[in-house]
Amino acid sequence: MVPEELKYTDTHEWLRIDGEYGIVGVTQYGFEKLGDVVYVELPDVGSKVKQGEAFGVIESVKAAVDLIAPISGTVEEVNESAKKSPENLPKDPYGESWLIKVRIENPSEIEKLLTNNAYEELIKE
Amino acid sequence: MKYTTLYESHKTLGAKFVDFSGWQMPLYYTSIIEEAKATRSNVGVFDVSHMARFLINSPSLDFLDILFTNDPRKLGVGKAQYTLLCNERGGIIDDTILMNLDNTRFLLIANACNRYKVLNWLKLYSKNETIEDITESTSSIAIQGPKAEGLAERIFDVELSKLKRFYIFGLDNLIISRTGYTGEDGFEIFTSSNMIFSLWEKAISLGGVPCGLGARDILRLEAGYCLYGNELSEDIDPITSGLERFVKLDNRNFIGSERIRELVINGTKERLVWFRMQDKVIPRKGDDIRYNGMKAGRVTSGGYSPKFDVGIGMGYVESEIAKEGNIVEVVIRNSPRIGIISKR
Repeated sequence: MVPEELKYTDTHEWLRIDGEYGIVGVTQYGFEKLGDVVYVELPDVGSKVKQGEAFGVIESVKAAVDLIAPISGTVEEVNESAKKSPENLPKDPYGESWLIKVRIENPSEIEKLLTNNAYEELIKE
Repeated sequence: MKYTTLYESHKTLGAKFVDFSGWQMPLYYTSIIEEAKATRSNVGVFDVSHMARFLINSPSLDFLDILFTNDPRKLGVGKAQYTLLCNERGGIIDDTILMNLDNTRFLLIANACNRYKVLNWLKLYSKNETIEDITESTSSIAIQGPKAEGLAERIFDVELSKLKRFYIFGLDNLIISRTGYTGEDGFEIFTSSNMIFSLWEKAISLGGVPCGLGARDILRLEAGYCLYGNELSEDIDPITSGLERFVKLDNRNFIGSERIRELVINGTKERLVWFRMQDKVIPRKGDDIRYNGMKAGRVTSGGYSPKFDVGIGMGYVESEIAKEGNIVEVVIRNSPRIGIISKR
C-alpha cells in the first residue's frame, strides 16, 4: 500500500503537498527497482525545477536513473543527509528520505499526477 | 533461455535474475554490496555454471602451442593457466583458464558469451584432438574469500592449505582449482551437474554467502580483472589491454604472435588503466575520459566500490597518459569529474 495523501509520477517519485510547498521523494517501489543506492545528485537551493524534467540523478549499483520533478517550482530546501548517506535512502522512502522541498509555481500541475490508487494500479505486477 | 542446475535453489533463496549471455543467472539475492562485502571479509559462493567448459582430449603440444598465448610447456599436470586465444590480428577471441588434468585431458573454461565461437575455433585447428563441450553436463561453483579455504576443506573433507594458486586438485568426479575472479583467495569447483546441488547446499549451510553476478562484477572490477565484452574484444590485443604477462613470445609462433610482437616493439596507441573517482559518482561504460580538457579515452567498466567507498572504473586511454598518479576527468552525465589513474 502506498500512502494515500501523496501524489505520484509514473517514474516513481512522490509529492507531498504542504501549503504552497511540495516535498519530493522516491517511492518504495522505485527504490526496490533500483537496488543498493550509492549516490544522489540533487539541485542547489534556489534553482528551478520543471514538472516532467530531470532535477537530479540517483545511482544504484545497477544504473543511474534521472529523478523527474513531479511539479515545477523553486528549490527551497535539499535533504543534505540524503546526499551524505544515500545508502540509507531505501529505509524510509516516505519519511526521512525526502529529497527536495520546492515552492510550487503552478498548483494546477498537481492534477496531472497520479493518485495513490492509480499509482498502485501502475506498479501491480 | 538456459537455466543452470541451481536455478530452483536461486529462486528459493530469493534471487533477482538477469539474462547473461542467454543464461538466467542470479544478479543478487539480498544486496549486491552486502554480497561483495561478504566475499571480501568472509566467504561468498557463486554459481558459475554458465561459463563454457570444454574437454580437450589428447591435444598435441602443437595444437596448444598454436592456439594459446601463454606457454603450454609451462602447464604441467595439475596446473591451471590464464591464457588467451587470439586471431591473426592479435585481437582477443577469448580469455580463458586452461587446466592440465592428466596430460591427455585438458579442461578449458571460456566465457559464456564466447562458447560457440571458441568451440568452433578449437575445432578448426584440431587434427587428432577431440573437443567435448561439457558445459551443460557439468556445473561449476566458485568459493571465494579469506575464509574460502576453511569452507572448502569442510565441504570436501580434504586439506587444501598446500594447494597453491593456479593448481588443481582432483577428487572423484570433481575438480577443485585454486582460481577465481574476485581478487580474493578461493576455489572453483567443477563437477557433474547431478552432484552440484548437494555441494551448493552444503556450502551455504556451512556459512558460504550466496552471491550473484552483481557482486562478481564489483569484485572483479575492484581487482582490475578484464571482462570480455567490456575491456576485451576481437579488436583489442593483449598489449593494449595490459595482459602481456599472459603472452609468451619467446621461440613461439601462435596465431596472432606476429602482430603482437610488432606491438611490443612499437608500442600501442592506447592502454588499459584502472582509476578511482574522488567521490561516489559512478563512471559507466562509454563515458569519455579527458586529460587536460581533451578527449583521451573511454570508460569500459565502471561501478561503485564498497572496498574504496568511491566510484571506480577501467578504460582505454592514450598510452602517453596511462600512468599511475595521472589525474583525468571522466565525463559523467556531461559533467567532468576528477579521477585518478592508480594501481588499485
